[in-house]
Amino acid sequence: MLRRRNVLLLLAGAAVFLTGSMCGFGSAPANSMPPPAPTSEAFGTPSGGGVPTQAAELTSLPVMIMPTPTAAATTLPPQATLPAPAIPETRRLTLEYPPSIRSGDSDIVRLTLEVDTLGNMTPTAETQGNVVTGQTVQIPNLYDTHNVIAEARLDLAGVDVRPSEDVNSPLLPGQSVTFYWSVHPSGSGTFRGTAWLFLRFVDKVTKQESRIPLSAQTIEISSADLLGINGSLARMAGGLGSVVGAVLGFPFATDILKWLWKRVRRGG
Amino acid sequence: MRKLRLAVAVIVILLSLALLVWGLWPSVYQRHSIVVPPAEMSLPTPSSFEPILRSGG
Repeated sequence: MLRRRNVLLLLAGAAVFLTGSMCGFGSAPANSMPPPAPTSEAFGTPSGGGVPTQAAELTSLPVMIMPTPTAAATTLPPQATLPAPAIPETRRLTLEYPPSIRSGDSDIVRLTLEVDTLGNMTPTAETQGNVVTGQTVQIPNLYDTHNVIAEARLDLAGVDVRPSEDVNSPLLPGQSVTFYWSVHPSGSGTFRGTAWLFLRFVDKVTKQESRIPLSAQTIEISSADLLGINGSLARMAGGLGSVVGAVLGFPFATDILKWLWKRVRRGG
Repeated sequence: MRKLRLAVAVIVILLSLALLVWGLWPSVYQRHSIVVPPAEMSLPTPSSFEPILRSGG
């Protein structure tokens, strides 16, 4: 009886197993299955008809999908071209001018292109607590291949500007360049203009020239007078009036005048 | 007469000093400074010559 019972149990278990394997009971759902790793057979040569062959066997190795880095790229893409040659220094352009000039007077406008002392700075960015450091990119030095010339011009309508034409000066590595103009307003009023700065590059080999505008800064100068009196007349009148007033106001001015009158009378 | 002379002297001196101060006051200069990075001091790219080439210049 026991043997018959055991046999029946075994038969029942086998039936259940067979039924489950036929219905896919032991396998996971298809949409949750990770994609099989491609094998060399999957990239085999296609058949004569051009139909690609299927892989001979599919591996079941799990594939790890690595997150793409969100930080700034630290390497240049393979198709990247070299950056254009440039001046390797950071420069500071300073324009100094008097906003107000006395009528009849002249003054100086100065434009300086000097090396900025901040030095080279590698760009950094901080994202979510991580510090990302940008890689220094080597830019070809323009001084090696070209002669660099700084050109400046001051356009100021209604004002006599000397020199009136473009002014040139060679730009050397590490050295500053300064341009001066003398401005003489023709009358009273407000005069507006532009201070231009260009860079001219002359190739050392081919002598080919190219020019770029570097800066165009607006400048505004007002010419003022005092009740119609210009600067030189005011100074002259002020000096003369001070002497006369001092003489009139001195306590011994009367004695001086009397003594002078006596001398004049003796001489006459 | 003396008081009148002194008053005139004071007025003349004050006006003259005012004219002198205005005529001799030093100019106040305005300063504008900008930083020019190296990228702005580079050779012009060939594409920027296109308008020049089209115009035949």
